[in-house]
Amino acid sequence: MKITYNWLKELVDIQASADEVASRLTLTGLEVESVEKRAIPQGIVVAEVLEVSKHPNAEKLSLCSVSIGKEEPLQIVCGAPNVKAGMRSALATIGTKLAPDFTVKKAKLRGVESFGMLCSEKELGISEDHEGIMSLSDDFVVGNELSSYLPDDYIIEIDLTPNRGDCLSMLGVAREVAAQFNAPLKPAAKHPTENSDSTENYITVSIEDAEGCPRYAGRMVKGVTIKESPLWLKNRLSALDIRPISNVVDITNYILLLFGQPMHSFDYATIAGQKIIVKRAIDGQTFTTLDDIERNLIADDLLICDEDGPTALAGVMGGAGSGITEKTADVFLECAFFNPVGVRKTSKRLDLSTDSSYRFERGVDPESGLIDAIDTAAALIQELAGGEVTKDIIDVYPKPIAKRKVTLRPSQVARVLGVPIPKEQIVQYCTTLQIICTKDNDTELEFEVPQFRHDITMEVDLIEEVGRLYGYDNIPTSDHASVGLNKHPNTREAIVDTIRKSLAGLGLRETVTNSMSSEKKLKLLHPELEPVKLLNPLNPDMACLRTTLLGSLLEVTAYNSNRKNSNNALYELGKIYLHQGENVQPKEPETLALLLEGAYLPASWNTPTQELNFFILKGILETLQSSLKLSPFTYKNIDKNDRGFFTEESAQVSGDGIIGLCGKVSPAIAKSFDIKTPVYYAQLDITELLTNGAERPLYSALPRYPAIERDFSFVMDDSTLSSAIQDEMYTISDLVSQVQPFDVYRGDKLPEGKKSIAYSIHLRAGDRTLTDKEAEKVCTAIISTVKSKFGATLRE
Amino acid sequence: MNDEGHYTTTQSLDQLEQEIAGAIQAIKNDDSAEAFRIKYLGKKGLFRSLLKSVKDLSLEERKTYGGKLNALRNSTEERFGAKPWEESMEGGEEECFDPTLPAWPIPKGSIHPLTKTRNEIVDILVGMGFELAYGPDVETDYYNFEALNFPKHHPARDMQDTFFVSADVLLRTHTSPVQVRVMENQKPPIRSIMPGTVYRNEEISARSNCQFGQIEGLYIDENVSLADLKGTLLSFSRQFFGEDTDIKIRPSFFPFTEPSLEVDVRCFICKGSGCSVCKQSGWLEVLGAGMVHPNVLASSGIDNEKYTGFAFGMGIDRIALLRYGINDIRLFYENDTRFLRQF
Repeated sequence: MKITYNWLKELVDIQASADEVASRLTLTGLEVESVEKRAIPQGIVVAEVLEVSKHPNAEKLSLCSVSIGKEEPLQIVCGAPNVKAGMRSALATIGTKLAPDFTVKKAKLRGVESFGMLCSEKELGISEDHEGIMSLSDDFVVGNELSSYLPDDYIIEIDLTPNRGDCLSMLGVAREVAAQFNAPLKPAAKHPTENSDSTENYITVSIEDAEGCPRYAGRMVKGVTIKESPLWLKNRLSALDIRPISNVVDITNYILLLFGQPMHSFDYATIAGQKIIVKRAIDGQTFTTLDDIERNLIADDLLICDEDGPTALAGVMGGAGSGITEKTADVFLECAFFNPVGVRKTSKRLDLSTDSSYRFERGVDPESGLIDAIDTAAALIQELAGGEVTKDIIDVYPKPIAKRKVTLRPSQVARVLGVPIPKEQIVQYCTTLQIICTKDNDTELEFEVPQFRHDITMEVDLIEEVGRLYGYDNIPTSDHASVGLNKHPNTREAIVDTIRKSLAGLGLRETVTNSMSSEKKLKLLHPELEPVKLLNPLNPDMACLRTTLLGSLLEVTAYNSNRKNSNNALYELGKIYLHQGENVQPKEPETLALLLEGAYLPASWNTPTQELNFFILKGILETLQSSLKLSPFTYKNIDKNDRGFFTEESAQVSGDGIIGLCGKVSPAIAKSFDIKTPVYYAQLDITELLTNGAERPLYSALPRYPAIERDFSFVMDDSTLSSAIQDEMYTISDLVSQVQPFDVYRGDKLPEGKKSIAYSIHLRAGDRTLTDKEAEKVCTAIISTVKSKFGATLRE
Repeated sequence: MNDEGHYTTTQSLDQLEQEIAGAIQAIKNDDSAEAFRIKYLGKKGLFRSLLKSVKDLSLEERKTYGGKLNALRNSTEERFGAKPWEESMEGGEEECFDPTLPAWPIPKGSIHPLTKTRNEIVDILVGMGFELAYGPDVETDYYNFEALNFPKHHPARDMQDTFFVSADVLLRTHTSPVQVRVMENQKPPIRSIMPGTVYRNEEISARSNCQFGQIEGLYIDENVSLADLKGTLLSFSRQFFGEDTDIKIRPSFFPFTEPSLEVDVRCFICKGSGCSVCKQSGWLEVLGAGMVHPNVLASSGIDNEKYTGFAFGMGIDRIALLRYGINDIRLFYENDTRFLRQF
């Protein structure tokens, strides 16, 4: 929201500069975004066009002789269609800086010299009018600087919080400034001169929904002349980003800016039956608003109607056809208080936010502010458009809104703010905000809150007001805190920290990516999962919550590959979102994803390229498991039908509190993300691990006696898993302390469908040195068991 | 294959001595050393077999030949044991060693700057006695808004553009719903921090992303006041931004706190004299805070006449931007490895 400094000074008696006002406003909670100077540049002078003739070489240009009060008139070339002899306008003389990068210079236009530039209102920032050069009345003295009529001003932009609807106006900000500077407010309202003809003779107003419209006030102004607004009014509206249109409309907008009270002006002649009826719409009813859009209404929407039907969407926007036109003679002014929730519902549903709905949603002043607004509007119309104001306001206000009474205990002020503030001081602060103390027994104060402060409803709201005026900077800063000793251990952070450090140490880079993804990509990766969809996504690429981290990491990989960042090793710790049904929160498993792309080690001057393979990924997982002190992970083949985006070179991995899949990503999937290099990926659900933590391992005694080592090579079916044989070996005897495969062979020397695996087996007893005889016994058992269980024979 | 037949006389041992001296000199590496050991000093080596034959000699010969053989064996063991070839391996005809060649390409990993920033913040606050709490990303309207004193149809809801999953389910717009969950499950005193990802339905630009990290703090006890909040935030700011940091607080509005405040921290780059980062103001807006609204305490079942509390929150991304002097928030989410490797 913007205000102007000059206007502010008309409303409150202060000497402070614009910058001082701005910094004070920020400190009071009205955060100032910017302060910008707004000035008519020096060198723009009031000029009179003496003669106009055709430019010799250009159809559309005129050659003008222009006086700026000096002896010799200036020769000016002008392209405006409205230039004519005798008019007054604004001339930018040579040397005028119209914009930072535009200084007016003597110029030759189609062979004729021009000694300045006649300006449009748009060029001077007074209005949007660029149809022709601006026209000034005879009150403007030829030769005077235009800035002497439109003094320099400052536009202060405030980022207003939604609780302060009362400050959505010049007057509202002036009230805050008055309280902050302890300066008096000047009267803002004007009152029209009424004739003796009663308004009631012209119109009747009835409210059928008093909840939606607690108050509706109206006034008649008869016999107006619709024309352009005077310069000061146009300038003021333009300064605050409202486009000047014509006097009556401009005045209602001026009232909006001044009092924060939205008004609507009707062409009286269009009001069928001279009746205004405020009532709810009927479901399915349609109404075409001023912007020519047909709106579908529901029974929640409030309408302003005449005998024939709706003329305005209450508090949001008028209809086409009831507004002011050049031909309007009699004006009916509407000034109402509409229910904030009702206006908001309609505005939100129709996605139609206007200056009017914005203010009604935040609450306008239903009391004196409303009456001041309609009176001032009528008085200004009288002044600028002529006409007669009929006697009395039509004021339908069935249940007047009383001032809210709020009790405040001074002891609570000290408790919340941490500093005792004397009762008298509290009362004084409130008084400057027009919050009046009506009862004072020693421990409790009762205040009456003016109706424009919709945000003050309870004790703590008053405490905030007291704090604001006391100044937060004056509240002491405590230098100690009491800390509760009832703590819970946090295993989660420690585990997550270990994971990150371990993976970073292994050469993986952590990524942070967006949780949102496109439905198409998610369906490509997980066709079997229905993703959680957003009702109002930013764009189709971010319409769903991810069901896997693979898409995110492939996108990061592609992004990097495109920038020649090759051999990517990435990980992310994040959530995936698993749909659990309509209107239900999804499951959010804590997920760790690892992705390796390209080569694990690039070729170097003394190292060949180390290509990626499953066992590098497995090695990373194993190191991670070891860093976390978890028991070894188990790997299982994945059924062909359950592999999803993985190739055959993949496995299900599980361990303490961890379950997931790992392996090589299908090249087709990688390619659909524009990646042509090998990609290995692991995704682990670590929710349980993070929730329950890992067991702290106990120390196990170091072996005191040497191990006997034996190597065996077994020939077995290719489908036999190494881990199955290993696991079996451990069960044969307690003496088997380690089984490590060290060679795998498939090839000519073996029959088709067979492989051999060589194992190095350590046999060790905890309490003695094993004898060869004992070792032989175990070895024999191993050989026979492996043969009987797996059909594997010792390779000769 | 042993040559014991050649060295059966005392004289021939001189020849053997020469032969051994040459053989030791010829040792270039551990392999040839092992071959030497096996040939001469091993279990089936030359000395063993020569010494075996000594018992068959006459007493005289045993003395002279045997004595010399023993001495030769001892000196051989000594000379061999001194590993003269190692010296030549290290110091011999060496190539010029160039330590400036590239290192072995061990892959280098990194931790994301947003994580680093989050952890620094968390560590400081944990040190100040706050405990961590977590909550879901996908929240209900009740926890995200209703219980936090955002009535339905109140313009305050416009402060946080929301992604909806359904009428009542949404992506949390702040970490504050975790406050409510904590208050429902714990009795005061409560001293918690709640880090997490939050979402806002806003166009992505250099200054804002539709997803970002937030950390929220909550302290509820008897007689917690705004002065305690100021003290806590000043202490945090000095630990995080530097010991000479100052803070400035001013009124603001959040539905779930009353009074509500914005906290500005003196620009740690220019120390308050004005620079491009703080837009010449000397201050950086980094925290929102306030006293927990009595309605919020009540709706979580906490006696608001007995207890007061404060809450504060900050955006991790924004703080990371400031901390590392980054000017585009999108860099965090693009994950260009040339960017990541800098942290």
